[in-house]
Amino acid sequence: MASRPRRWISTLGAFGAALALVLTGCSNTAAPKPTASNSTAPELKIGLSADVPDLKPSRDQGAAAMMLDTMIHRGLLGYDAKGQVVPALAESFKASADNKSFTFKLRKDLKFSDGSALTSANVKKTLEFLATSSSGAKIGATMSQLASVDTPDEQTAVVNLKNANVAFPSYLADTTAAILPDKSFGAQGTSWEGAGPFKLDKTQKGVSFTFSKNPNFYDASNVNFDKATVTVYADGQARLNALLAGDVHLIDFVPWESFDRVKQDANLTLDPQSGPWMYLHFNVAKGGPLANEKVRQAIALAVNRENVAKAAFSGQASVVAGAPISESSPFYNAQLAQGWKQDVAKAKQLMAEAGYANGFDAVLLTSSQYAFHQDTALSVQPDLAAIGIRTTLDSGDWATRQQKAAEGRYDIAVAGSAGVVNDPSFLVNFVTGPAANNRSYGFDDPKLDDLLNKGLQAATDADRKAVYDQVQERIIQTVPFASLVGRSQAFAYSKKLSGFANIPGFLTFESGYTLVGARLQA
Amino acid sequence: MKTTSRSVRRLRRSLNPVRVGGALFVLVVVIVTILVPLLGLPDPQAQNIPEKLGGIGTPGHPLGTDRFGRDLLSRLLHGARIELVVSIGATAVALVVGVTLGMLGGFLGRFVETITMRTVDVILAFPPIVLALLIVTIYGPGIVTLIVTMGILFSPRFARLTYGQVVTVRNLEYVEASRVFGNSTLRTMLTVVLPNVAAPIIVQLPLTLATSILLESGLSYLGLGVVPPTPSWGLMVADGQRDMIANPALVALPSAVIVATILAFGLVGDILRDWLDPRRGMASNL
Repeated sequence: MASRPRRWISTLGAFGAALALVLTGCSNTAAPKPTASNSTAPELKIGLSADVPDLKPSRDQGAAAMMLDTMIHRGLLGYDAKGQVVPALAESFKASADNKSFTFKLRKDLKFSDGSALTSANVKKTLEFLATSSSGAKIGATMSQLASVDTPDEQTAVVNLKNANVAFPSYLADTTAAILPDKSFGAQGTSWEGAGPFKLDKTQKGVSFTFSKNPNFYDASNVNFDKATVTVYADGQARLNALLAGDVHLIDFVPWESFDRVKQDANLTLDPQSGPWMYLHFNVAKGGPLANEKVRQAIALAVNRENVAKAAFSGQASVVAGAPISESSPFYNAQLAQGWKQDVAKAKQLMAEAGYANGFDAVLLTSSQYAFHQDTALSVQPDLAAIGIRTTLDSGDWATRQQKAAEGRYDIAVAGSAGVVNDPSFLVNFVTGPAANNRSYGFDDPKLDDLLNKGLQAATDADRKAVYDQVQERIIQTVPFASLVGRSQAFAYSKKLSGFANIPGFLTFESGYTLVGARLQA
Repeated sequence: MKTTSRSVRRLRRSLNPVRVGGALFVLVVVIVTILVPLLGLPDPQAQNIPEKLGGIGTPGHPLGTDRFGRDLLSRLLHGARIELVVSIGATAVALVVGVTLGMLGGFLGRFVETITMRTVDVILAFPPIVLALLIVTIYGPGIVTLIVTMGILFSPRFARLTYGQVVTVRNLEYVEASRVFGNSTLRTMLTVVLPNVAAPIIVQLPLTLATSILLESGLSYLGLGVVPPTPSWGLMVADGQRDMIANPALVALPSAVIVATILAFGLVGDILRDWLDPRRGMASNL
């Protein structure tokens, strides 16, 4: 009889020990034995931060989907390692003098990975699809200006726009502007076949994607991997452990608190770039306090951005107190970049002027799946409380966060994003267009839209600078979003991998383009 | 008097140093839970980011601070409060739902038995963590969701226990006598049957509390339990994990208190079982 209590104790003890192990993530290290580092076969192994259940052409599905896009698909244009627009499926392109018409000359004998021919007809169909509002395209706001696509022959596509757009080639270089085979436009709307450097052989749902080299890729001779395996490690530490153990050669989203750990490893390269930015966006459709621009101004002035940088990004982020335009950009304005510099007294005054001196209750939407999103929310929560905005965190999984944001089921939301292009014209995606998960729900400012259009049509850089100064002033006034910080975004990879590069600025998530030309040392 | 002294004897016999240690630990957790607002600790949610990741012994923060500069000791002790509220709430829900289903099914029999026990089977058919994830995902994380979800999840163990005991006693003479004296079915169930089947149910209580703490910690760790910045041990482990190398105490301390509390509740369950089960006393007299 006396043995039963002892059995109980040992059982509970075992449960407890198991819990401690599971909770501390020690199980992460129980990965398969490292093989990649000893391998001489040209197989690339990538550790990815999120699963992509359905790769939907044209949509903004986040960084993980963009990596897969760069492997499977190609557009007319792409980016090189420095972020310069370079020809891809198009061997050349020419803009008209008024920047309203662009002529693309396709390479000869282009084929999709299934062997079917890729012609100007596919270009026309894809671009027209991107221009439809139902496509939900990431570059939908830009493509809505599409007037027509002419195809004088199988190798030539002439894209005509309703208005001038000097940045149009940059938009077509985005991964989501890939040229798609006809079957991608079916009811399912998913696209696992394209004209990129790899073709998908196998997926294990939520676990991995296995690719082989696409022999039909136009630049196949520069693809130095016969095989590539992308394994999903949603947990940052697990992803890092996989790299440290040699299970993978390359990981994305290096956890900020682990930057030093990677730097200290002689076998690894940390490749950070300052790019994506974190911000708050608002549900103004409810018509409550957040529809009042003074309340939004108060929020933008109340937040302590240094705290966000320290708490959520271990200091690996820089303060952004205005529109997110890089200091290196010719359109940067040092004074306007400080337009929302923290000023709690002024924020309280604005709250009082708006009629909310006693504050109000609000739901702060974020996601626990990406710890830095939740940490950002936790960091701004006391700042909002200081001006009377009592927030309750809604911190579910990422997919739920995205859905709630797109449907307007929030008051204030934390978001992290990158412009489609480094040109300030990217701001259009965050202030106008149909409801999306990364911009204020119900926000509409025709004057701002008009200014952004003027920026695209300005004849000279000086004219554009003048217009974008006005854009920044308008953003500081109407607060379509409240910028917080520009975060450092890093890839980490084995020193045996050469040629891969983290593309600077907002283009960091396009870095998969540089896998073409990259190689592994034996 | 004889019964009382026999009960005290059984209680004494059920105790040993490990079990007493466990019971004392539970007592300390309960006392801390009640007195924590009077201890003068810093606000567990108050951030002081310049003092982030302070180690054990940091001035003003005996156990250090987390990545928001929040006091670890304060969060651990306030976390105990949340753990107990959630686990006691969930256990209470499980007790009420489970005992009701078990009593009705066991005492009334026939189609009531079919309905109640098959309901229990349906709940048991789902793996607990999967069902919890499903409900929390639909209704959103939070203390109330946690209590109701875990209460439903743990109700079958009370329902089956009660059902088995009620089936055993429902035809005994004292139950028949209650009916003969004209007591209603409800009154017979509550005043005659329930007291006679209570002992194993009481023994089940601390074990369910322990399991509740385990599940709550797991769900909070996964971001589906207590909503931050409210302190919870599971949440503290999840948060601390990222800074484990800079400050191992962020993970070690909440993990240790989770293990110790679960173990302690298990030991209290052992004491109650040996104390309240007269057959154990009889067996040892043989």
